[in-house]
Amino acid sequence: MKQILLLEDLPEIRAWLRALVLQVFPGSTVVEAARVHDALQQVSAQRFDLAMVDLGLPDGSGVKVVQALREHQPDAQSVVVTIHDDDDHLFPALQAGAYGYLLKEQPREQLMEHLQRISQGEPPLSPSIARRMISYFSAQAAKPVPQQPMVDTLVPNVQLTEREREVLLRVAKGFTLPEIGVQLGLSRHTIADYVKQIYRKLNVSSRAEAALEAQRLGLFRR
Amino acid sequence: MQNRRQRGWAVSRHRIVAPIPELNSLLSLFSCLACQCRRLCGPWLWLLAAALGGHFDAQAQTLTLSTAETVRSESARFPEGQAIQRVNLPHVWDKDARENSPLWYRLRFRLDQPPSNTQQAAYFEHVCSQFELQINGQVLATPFSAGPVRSRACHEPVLVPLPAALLRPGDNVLDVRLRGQPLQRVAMRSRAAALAPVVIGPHDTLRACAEQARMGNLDLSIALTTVAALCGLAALGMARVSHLDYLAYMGAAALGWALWLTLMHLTELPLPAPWAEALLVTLLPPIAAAGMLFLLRYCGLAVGWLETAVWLQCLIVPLSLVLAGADRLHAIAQPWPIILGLELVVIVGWFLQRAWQWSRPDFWVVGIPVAVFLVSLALESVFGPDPVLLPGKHGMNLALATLLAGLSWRLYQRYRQDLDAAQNARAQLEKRLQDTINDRDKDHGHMAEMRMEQVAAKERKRIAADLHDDLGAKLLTIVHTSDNERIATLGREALEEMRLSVRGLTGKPVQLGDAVGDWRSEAMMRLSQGGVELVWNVSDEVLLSERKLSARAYVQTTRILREAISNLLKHSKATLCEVRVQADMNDFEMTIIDNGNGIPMELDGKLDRGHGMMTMKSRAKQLQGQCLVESGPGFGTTIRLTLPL
Repeated sequence: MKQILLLEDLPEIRAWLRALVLQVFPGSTVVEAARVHDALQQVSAQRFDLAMVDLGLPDGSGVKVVQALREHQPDAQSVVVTIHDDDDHLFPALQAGAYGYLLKEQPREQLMEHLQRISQGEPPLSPSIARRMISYFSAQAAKPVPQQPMVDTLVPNVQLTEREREVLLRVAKGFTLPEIGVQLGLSRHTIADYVKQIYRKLNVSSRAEAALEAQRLGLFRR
Repeated sequence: MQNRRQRGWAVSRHRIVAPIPELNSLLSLFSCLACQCRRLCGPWLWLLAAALGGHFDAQAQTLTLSTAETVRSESARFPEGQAIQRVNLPHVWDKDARENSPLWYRLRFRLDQPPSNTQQAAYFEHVCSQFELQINGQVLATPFSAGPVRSRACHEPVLVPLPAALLRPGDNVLDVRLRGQPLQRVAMRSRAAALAPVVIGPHDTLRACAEQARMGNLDLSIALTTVAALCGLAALGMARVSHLDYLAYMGAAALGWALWLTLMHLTELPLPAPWAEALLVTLLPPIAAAGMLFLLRYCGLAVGWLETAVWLQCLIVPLSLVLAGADRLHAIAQPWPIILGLELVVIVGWFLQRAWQWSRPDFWVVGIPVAVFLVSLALESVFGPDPVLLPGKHGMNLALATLLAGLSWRLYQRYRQDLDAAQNARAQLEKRLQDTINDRDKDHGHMAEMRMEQVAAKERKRIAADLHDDLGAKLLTIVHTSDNERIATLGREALEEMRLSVRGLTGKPVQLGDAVGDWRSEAMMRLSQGGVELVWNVSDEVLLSERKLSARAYVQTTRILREAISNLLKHSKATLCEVRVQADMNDFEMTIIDNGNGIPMELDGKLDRGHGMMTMKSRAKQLQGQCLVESGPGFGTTIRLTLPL
């Protein structure tokens, strides 16, 4: 029994997604929104367990909704559903806290499988996204630790563990998760856990970085 | 009337130069010719000619009187009966400083033969300063003025024609009444009252000698003094223009020297005698000072104590004259020029020695005039008229002219050097300016390129966004709302194509290793779903290579790979697929091998338009590469794609 938010502006696609979601999570309540503005209102109005967010909306990017959800409802999972498969569009969403992405034109079965996996904690990871993550975490590691945190909250300097970095590297080379499990001598679930960790660290690191940047009065924004 | 006058003029001139077949006349003719050539030849040439012509003493008919009887008296005639003193000519009044009453000289001579038709004359080479001539008791017109004795220039020889009527055969008496300053009261020996030996002879012959002496002393002096004055003015003018102080000193020295020579040659200075003499001496130190300062400044030195001493000298000299008094003027006045001369010699010597070490051209600039001076001094003493009234004055003038020439040449040389340096500097500056402009243009070009790139990239992004928004949305709708599976698949494939096209438009070059990773992931996913085993054969060299595929090449390769896998999955029923990727310096090669049935040719035409092996080949060709396909039942399918990097 889930509360699901669905943000999509094209009505046909919205209907189709709704059907999909109800198939994967039967019995859940689906709240539809066609504008970022409406979606934000919904986020502040009620609690959600899952959000399917489109990126390209008439009045802005769905990334704002993902951010709002992460801030106000940390337990909710956001999944980005989009046409774009390039990391320029996806990475910011992932940084904002999305827990995976779905490509709209994939066949129904694949989508269902992916959606289930995401809800079970196995977000997908494409080579280009993995590459992007590697470069992001390398850049983070190269930054100096701030001596005096100017924020009240802790500013963690998240680093990937060795294992996580290995997993990312292999994903970037094009190996699938089962293959990586075989190569590293671990089970597929362990690998999937690593991927989950990576996503979380990405989100945490990105938020902290954003806070720091805000503290730096907008200097050196990426 | 006019014609006759002109003719008369010509006739009289003619008479002067009429050829006469007698030796002395020939000689006189020679001398006269020499006189005429003074206007044509230079002074030196003339002097040589005069020397050769003039010293041929026409001894045959001239008489030189070298003894005289002297009596000091104010009377208007030779006082007979007073005690006489015999003197030898030349005679200078150097006995008593206070003797300034006139002195009578009586010269006796004998004319053996009756005076011939030629006019006789008395030639006084040097007589100073005012005199009256009486021949046999008769007064001849003379330049004698009453009044205070003045200092006169006694450089001119005097030629007095003796009227034949007054001459007697046999003994004749010539009385000379002389007035002048004694030696002690004058600045220079030549200005003291004196009488040189008197020569009596034919007027024409003696006139030749007189002319010659006059030339040598007077006209030459005037010419060279004018030259020196002009040099001084020129130097002053140059000093004003170029702001070089040594030129000003040189100009002052030359002008001062010319002025002094002029004063020396003036017949009468409008000052009482002692003052005039003192003036002549007082003018020397400043001139010498200017000369010495010129040399110092030319070196670029400023020796404070020396300059002060030199200017102090200008005050000391008149002071010493005043202290000496009129009676001892000569005694004080004589050493001063020598002292000044020695000082000048010392400074010149020091300058030359310094210039020899430091700056040869400057050595020559001063050395050559010094040499000219010395040579002319030697020439004068050998060939000059006798007595040499002022040793070295010609030489000094010539030396000054040579010095100015040398200084001008040096200045011109320096000017040329500066001009060249300035031109070089200007050329360098222009070159640097041109280089800066070129760099600026290049940067501009660069920036313009970058801006164009930026604009183009923005355009592409806009197109991509439009494509995604409009086209993508519609395709998506087709995919999800059509019942027909084939249409849905087509729509899906169309979306994939659109994405690839956008990527080809806006994408950046991809590193080989990254591209390989993408391809592997997709191939693995699709083939494993289709139950086909994938063998991925890519060397580490390719994975680690830094070569980049352009976005278009990446996109086309992706398309071809996808197409091959699709064909494999749909038609070939293969169970194994091997993908090999190789790269060398210039090319990139991907080989896809499967063990299926191959793609039958007849199906190729029926496949969806835009796909198929023809499309693959044309796409590869577009990128200057090639795509070879070998396919057949039993062999499987081998696709070999080669693209340039």
